[in-house]
Amino acid sequence: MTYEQMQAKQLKLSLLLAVIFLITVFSVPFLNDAFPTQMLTPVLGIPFVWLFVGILFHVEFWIIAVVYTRYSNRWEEEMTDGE
Amino acid sequence: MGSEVVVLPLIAAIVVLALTMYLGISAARRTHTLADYWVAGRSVDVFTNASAISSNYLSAASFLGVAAFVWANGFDGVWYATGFAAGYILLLLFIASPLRRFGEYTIPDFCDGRFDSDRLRHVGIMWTFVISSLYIIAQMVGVGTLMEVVTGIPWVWGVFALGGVITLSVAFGGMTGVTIAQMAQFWIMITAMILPLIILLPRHGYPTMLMHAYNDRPGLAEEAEAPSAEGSITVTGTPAFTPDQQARFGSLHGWVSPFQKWDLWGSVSLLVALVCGTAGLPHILARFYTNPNASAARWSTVWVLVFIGVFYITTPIWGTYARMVLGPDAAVRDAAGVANPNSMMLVTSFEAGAWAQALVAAGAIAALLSTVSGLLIALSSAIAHDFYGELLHPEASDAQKMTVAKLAVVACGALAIFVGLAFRDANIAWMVGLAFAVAASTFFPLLVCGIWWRRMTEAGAFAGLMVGGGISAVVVIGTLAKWWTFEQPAIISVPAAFAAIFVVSKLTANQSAEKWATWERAFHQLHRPEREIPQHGELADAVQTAEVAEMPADDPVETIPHEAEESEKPDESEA
Repeated sequence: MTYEQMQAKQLKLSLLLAVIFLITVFSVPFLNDAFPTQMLTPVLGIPFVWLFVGILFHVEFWIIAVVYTRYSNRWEEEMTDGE
Repeated sequence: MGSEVVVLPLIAAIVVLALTMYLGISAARRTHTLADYWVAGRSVDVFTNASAISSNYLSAASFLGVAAFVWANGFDGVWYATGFAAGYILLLLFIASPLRRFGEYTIPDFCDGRFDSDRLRHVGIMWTFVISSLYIIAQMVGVGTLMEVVTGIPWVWGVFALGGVITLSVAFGGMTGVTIAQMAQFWIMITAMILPLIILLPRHGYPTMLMHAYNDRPGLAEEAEAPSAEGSITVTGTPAFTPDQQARFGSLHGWVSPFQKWDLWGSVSLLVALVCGTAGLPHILARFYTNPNASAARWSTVWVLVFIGVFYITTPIWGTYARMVLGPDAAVRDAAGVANPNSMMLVTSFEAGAWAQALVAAGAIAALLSTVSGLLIALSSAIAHDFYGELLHPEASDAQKMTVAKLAVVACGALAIFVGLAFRDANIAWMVGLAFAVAASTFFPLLVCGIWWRRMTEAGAFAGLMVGGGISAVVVIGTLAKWWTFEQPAIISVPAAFAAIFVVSKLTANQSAEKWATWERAFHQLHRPEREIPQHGELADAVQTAEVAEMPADDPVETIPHEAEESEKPDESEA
C-alpha cells in the first residue's frame, strides 16, 4: 500500500463517519417536527429526545472520535513500520 | 447579591485571578523563542492540550449561559449543549491533523502558505479580527456583568480588574503561560460544574424532574390513569408550579418540547453554525498547532470531546434543576423585574451551600479568563505575526518580533477592555453566535476545501472568504436594521461560501504551471507523512509522481524540489 492509498483510506473513513454524524444530528430537528409526541416518549425515565440529544449524542461523538483516531493513527504507524 | 460585595465568591475570584497571574508570569522564564510565544514550542502533551483547548473553548457564555438557556427555554437550550461539542467532530475528521502537519502559527499563515498569496493573508487577518473581536467584546461585557453579579464589584471595575490581569498574564507568558493557566482553569471549571450537582441531584433526581415536567400538560388527566398521571411522579418538596408561577413561567410540558425558541429552520441553521463554526474559530485552531505531531493533535481532540462532553452533559441538568426546583426565582431580577439569566447558576448553586456558590463563581471566572487569553493570542498574533512579522517587516529579528508580540497583546487587551466598556448593553449570546456564524462561513469552508481539494485556486479561496463572510454580514445588518427577523445566517452563508469556492476555482483553473506547482507543494505539506516533516527537499518522488495523473495539464510538479521550510523541531522524534 502506498502512502496515498493509506490516505485515501483515511479520507474514506472520515467521510463515512462524517455522514453518520451529520445524518444523526441533522435528522433530529426534522424528526421533532414530524413526530412531536413520539420524540418525547419516555425512555429510561427521560423524554427520548432529551436522552438522545443531551446524552447519547455525546456518546456517539466519543465513539466516532475514538474509531477515527485509532484507525488513522494505526494505519500511519503501519506505513512507518513497514519501511 | 446585587450591589453589596459578597465575600466568599469575591475570595474565590481573587484566588483564580492570582493563580492565573502567577502561572502567566512564571511561564515567562520558559518563553524564549517566537515558537514558545505563539505555539508553546509545539511541545504540549495530549492531556494538557486537551484541557487547555476545552477551557479555551468553554467561555462564560457556556459556563453560565447554556444552563441558563435550558432553564429559560427548555429543550432548545440542549441544542447548544450538544452543538458546541459537535463542532469538534468535523474539526477532528477533516482539519486537525493536516493543519498540524502544515506547521504554521496562525490561520492567516494557512491562507498565505496554501496559496502563496498576500491578498489571502490580508483577508485572513481581517476575518480573524472580525471573529475574535466579536468574541472578545462579548467576553469583556460578560466580565463586568459576571463580577458584578458574583462579587458585587461595580461593573467597570470588574472589566478593568479581569481584563488587566489577563492581558498582563498573556503578555508575559505567551502561549506557554496561556496553556498551563488554561489547563488549571479547565479543572476548576469542571469541578465547579459537577461537585454541586453531586450534592443537589440526590435530592430530586434528573429523570424524575424531567418526567414531572413532561407529565405537566393539559388534558393528561383524561388521557391517563389517575395514579400514573399525578400520583407517581413528584419532585420532592416542589410539586407542580403554583398557578402564579405557571402564569409567570408558562407550561412545563411546553418547556420539555422542542421549537419553543426556534422553529425548524432556525434550529437547523443554529446547528449549522455550531457544527461548522467551531472548526473555523481562529483561537481554537491555533491550539492545534501546539501539539508535537498530527497523531497527538487527533488524540487531543478525542479528549476534548470527552472533557467538554462531560461538561455539556451537566448543563441541561443544571437548567432542569433550576427550572423545576426554583422555577422563575432561579435568577436575580432587577428593579423592573427582568431576570438576569447569567445569575441562574449562582442562585441555583447556593442551594448546595455558600461554598458551592463560591466554587461556581471561581469556575465562571476561570471560564472567562481562559477564553479571553486564547482570544488575545489569536488577535495579537494576527497583528504581530501575520501583519508585522510576515507582511510589514519580514526581515525583523526574532527579538524585535517578540517585543512587537508583547506590545500587540497589551494593545489588544487594552482595546478589548475599552470597547467592552462601550458595549455594556450588547447581547453577549448574540455576539458569540455571530462569531460562530462568521467562522462557519469563512474559515471552515476555506480549510475544508483548502485541505482536501487540490484543484482549489487562490481566487476560489478569496471568493469563498468574501462571499461567506459578506452574506453573514448582510444578514446581520438586515437583522439590526429590522429589514427581516432571520437571525441565523449560517444556513445560507455556509453553502454559499462552498459554492463560491467551487465555481470560482473552476472558472479560474487556467493558471500557469508554476502557480499550480506552488499550490501543489503546499497541498503536499498538509498530507505528507509525519516522518517527512522535518526533512528538507526530500518529499518522496513517489508522492509527487502518483499525483501527476490528476494534475492540470502540463504541470511540471515533479521537477520542483521541495522548499526548505520553517525550522520545526519536535517532529524529528517521530521519524
